[in-house]
Amino acid sequence: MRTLLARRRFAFTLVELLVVIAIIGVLVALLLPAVQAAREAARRSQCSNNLKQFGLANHNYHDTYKKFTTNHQRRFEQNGDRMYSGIIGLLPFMEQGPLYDQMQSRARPAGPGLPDPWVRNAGGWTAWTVTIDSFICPSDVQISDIGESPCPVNYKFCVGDSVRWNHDDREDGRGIFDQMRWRSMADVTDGTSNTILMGEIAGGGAPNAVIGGVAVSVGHSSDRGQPALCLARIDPANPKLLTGAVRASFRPVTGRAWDGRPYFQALATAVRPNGPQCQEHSVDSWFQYGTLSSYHPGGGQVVLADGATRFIPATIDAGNPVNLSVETGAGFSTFGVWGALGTHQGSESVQVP
Amino acid sequence: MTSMRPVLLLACASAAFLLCGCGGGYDNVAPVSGTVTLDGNPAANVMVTFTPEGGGVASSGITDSKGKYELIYIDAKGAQIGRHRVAVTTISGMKAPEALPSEIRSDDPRYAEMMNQDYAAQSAAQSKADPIPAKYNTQTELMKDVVKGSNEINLELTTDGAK
Repeated sequence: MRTLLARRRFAFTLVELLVVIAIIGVLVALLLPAVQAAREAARRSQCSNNLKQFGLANHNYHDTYKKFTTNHQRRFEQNGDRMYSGIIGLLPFMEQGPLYDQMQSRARPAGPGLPDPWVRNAGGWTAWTVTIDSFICPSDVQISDIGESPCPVNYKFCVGDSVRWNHDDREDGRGIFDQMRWRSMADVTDGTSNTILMGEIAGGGAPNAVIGGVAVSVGHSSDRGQPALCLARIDPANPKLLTGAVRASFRPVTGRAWDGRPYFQALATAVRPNGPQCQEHSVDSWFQYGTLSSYHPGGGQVVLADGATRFIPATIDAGNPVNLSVETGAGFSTFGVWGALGTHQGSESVQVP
Repeated sequence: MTSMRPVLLLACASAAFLLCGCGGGYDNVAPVSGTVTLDGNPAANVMVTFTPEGGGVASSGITDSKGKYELIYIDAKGAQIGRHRVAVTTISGMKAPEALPSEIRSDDPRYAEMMNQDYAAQSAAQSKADPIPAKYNTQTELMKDVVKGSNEINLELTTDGAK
């Protein structure tokens, strides 16, 4: 009897073992989905870090020149009337000084002029074709066809709640960033804590996906933007896809950091966050409904003009999508809290949710 | 066999735990569909938008040739539960001009030419008057409630009130 008990003390029964295995199984089963979520949380955190760097770069730029940079600027080119992104001006403030110097050495009027902002490695020009880690949100899927995408960038300048893009620069836009206009902190009368500076846009993925794709051939209403026209392109059978004409596979909206056109640089707070990206024609459209979009679950991230990064939920009040946009000047946004956050002089009393 | 019971129980419990997380979607959203008629005739290719009165994301949907619509809320079907302001807008009259050949690659010489075109002329005068009266879109007073469970909300519009 004694020996039997002593023997039993040093062994587990089959049931005990199975129970232990089952408990471990339950714990693993609980943990595994959490690990998957943690990966995305880490990517989102890194993405928000990058956005913060852009916020700081904008502030340092403002400290130096007493103005924010512009959405696009010209007069640096060797051919035609090209538009260059405001990101170029931010490079020295993002520890990319040598790259900036390389570009400045070619830019007019001092140099022979910069090449077109979409060329890759033309005539020994390699400054365009770089990959800067802090330009890329790790949650975005990789661009499959980078043929025309010299330098990917996920972070875009907020141009307000208006979607009309004027080539001739005669109108004042409704956001901090605008074509050939350099606004100062003093111009942000809505308050820097209530105005979006930059935000992320996902560009990788299928051309006909709501996140990552672009619906082209989306019109406007009497020269004013109407988000409903863009939302109308969502496939009723599968709300994650677009119908009709979509972008070319080699032209993601995140492909060209140096190209200053709104297709590649602008974020408008008209269509609700994580809504589709829409264009009147294609790259050179007069109307572009580029909105905040990301692969983070439930929304996307912005950096406000005070330098704070915020997660904007897709469920934010974005007003009635059949409303027409206010295209120029001050005045209340027609797109709820989301539209109000984009304007710098809208006089709306809203807070970031 | 009785000794296996706790194991089976645990397996069931873990399965139940796992399935708990599989709900997904939005909890305050209910599916909404219906038919839009204008003076008794089905209204095709019109945009129906439901904007929640209490704030939040509007849902929208387009009618097919029979006037049937189904609302979409962000990336799911449905609309927020609660009271909505409903608008019906014609979208066919505001169709964009022909798409540009966006397939032109940037190393093609035509690409640079395309850039300097003036699209203003193409963009002008696309908008036509909306056959749906303003009381259903820009000045809509139409309110509808979305309740839990599936909703069928038919919108019977009339062009001249009394008619």
